[in-house]
Amino acid sequence: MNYIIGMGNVMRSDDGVGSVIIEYIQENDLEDNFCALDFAGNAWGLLPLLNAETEKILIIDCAQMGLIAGNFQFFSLNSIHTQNKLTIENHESSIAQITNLAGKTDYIIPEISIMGIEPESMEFSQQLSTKILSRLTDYAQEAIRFIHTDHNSFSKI
Amino acid sequence: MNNTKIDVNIDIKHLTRVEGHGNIIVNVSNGKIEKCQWQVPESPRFFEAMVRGRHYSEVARITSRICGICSIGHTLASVKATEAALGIIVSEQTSKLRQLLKHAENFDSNVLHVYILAAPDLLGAKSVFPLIQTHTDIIRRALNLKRLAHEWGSAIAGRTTHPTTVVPGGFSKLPDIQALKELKQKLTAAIPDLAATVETILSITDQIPDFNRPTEYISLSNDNNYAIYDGHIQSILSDGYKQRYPVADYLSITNEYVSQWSTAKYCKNKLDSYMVGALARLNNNYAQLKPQAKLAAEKFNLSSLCTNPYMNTIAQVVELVNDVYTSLELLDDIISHGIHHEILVEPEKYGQGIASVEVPRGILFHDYQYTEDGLCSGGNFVIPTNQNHANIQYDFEKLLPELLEQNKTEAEIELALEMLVRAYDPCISCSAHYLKVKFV
Repeated sequence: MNYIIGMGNVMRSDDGVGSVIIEYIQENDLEDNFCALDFAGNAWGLLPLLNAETEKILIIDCAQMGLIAGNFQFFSLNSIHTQNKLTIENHESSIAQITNLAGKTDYIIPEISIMGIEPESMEFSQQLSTKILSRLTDYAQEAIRFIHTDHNSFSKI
Repeated sequence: MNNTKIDVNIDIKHLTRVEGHGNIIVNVSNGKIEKCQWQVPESPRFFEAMVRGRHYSEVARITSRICGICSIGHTLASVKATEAALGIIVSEQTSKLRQLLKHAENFDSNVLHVYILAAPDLLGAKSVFPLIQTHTDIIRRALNLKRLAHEWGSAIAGRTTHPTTVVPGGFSKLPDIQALKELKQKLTAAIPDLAATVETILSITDQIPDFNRPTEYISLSNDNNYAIYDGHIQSILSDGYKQRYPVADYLSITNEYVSQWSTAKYCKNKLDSYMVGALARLNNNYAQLKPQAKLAAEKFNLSSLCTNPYMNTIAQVVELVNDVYTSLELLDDIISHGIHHEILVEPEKYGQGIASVEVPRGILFHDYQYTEDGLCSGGNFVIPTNQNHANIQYDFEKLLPELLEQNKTEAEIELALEMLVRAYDPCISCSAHYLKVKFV
């Protein structure tokens, strides 16, 4: 099984884009040979998916990467491991921390990629910014295309 | 040699392995305590303001974001308070499913605290990561139990964090009976891991400091079960004296006040401070524990009334057992009756509603007022950790002189204070609502 997972805080405008895309996929019945899940802010939800039956996981999240607001980039989770301190200091913990811990205790870690979307606004709001909202369909389509495609490299779009 | 003339300077900004930011500041000069403070520097988050003007159907979705780990509890407290304000009485099926969900959250959070946040102290490690090499089986078991907790919550509420199906009047989507049967199998299969958890923690209980400070313990309580979803407010003092109060009287119990070195309010009732959380629940409701949980408690020599705050972590272990066995009974009950489609119960009135649930860190209150058009005109939340801050401070003030008297080194004092705060399993960022917002 393949998974597209949304993460983020829908109370902080574009930070919630991952969750909103998952809602869009579910409401439009776009799940086709993959399962769309919204984890909100809790990466511990990955644990049930870390097994031999999972082939690929794509996590959609808001990411401040220095791109133009609204643009996005796919990248491997492994590429950000080295930027994370390996300590768990709070209850929620990061994706990298959880997968690192699980990988060292014999959990099977599938291919995990991230679709980072550059935000325009991170203000307290339950609405996405106009720029991000206008591209919601594109984001969903690109995420679905990605999960159905074998890839060796990642691209900025 | 007595080192009561030592100098101690502890300046921890910020304490690790807790949620949010808290500081431990200690200055001892030539044996004289000049400063001993538990400080909370978190910013207020204004959730009380965010709910104003929102339709009753939206409020729980917003307030669940108060906390990522207690989002089920905030959702349940919110929908219960809203239902009280709107005159909604939910079905027995809804009530049972919500109790099952509440146990999932308690289990999830207690596993996290016991294994990931507290155990490193007891096993002499700085964090959980060094334990992967030295205690691989324990960490694997911790992750397996965390995985179970997520599957448990998701089976009932769509997802564990910020549940989507719990709404005022019932459930927007009910779990199917097959999912509940599979959940029962998973909980049953986890029983050996529960037993192993008890044995693991039992093997390291000699690392738990021997410190006692009698205080007041406050939790939900009822005569039917170990209350985490419903009940009265109950207080128990160290002499065993109990008193019950209606949940609607929560303001006269919590008595929030402002501390000069904390952005979170402090609380007090009969004494200068009180404690909430697993130990307070166990002290109030020991008799209602399931027999298997009582057996676990007996292994730790834990019973009501325990006045050692470090034992809060052990009370959480006992609750893990109680959560599973209580939920197995609930599941048997629900499965035997079948899942029946139910229409959401509609409002009968609009007014004020107050409700409480136990979240992992203690008793939680939500209070709303609604206008005739179903819009929220005001809200108030009293969070468990802010009810514990004063108790932590008073613990510090008793513990530090004892540690000095015991000739502890600065490093040992620092660890003892850190472990004390962690034992409360604080969710500090949730507790900060220093500013009182007056709506006009």
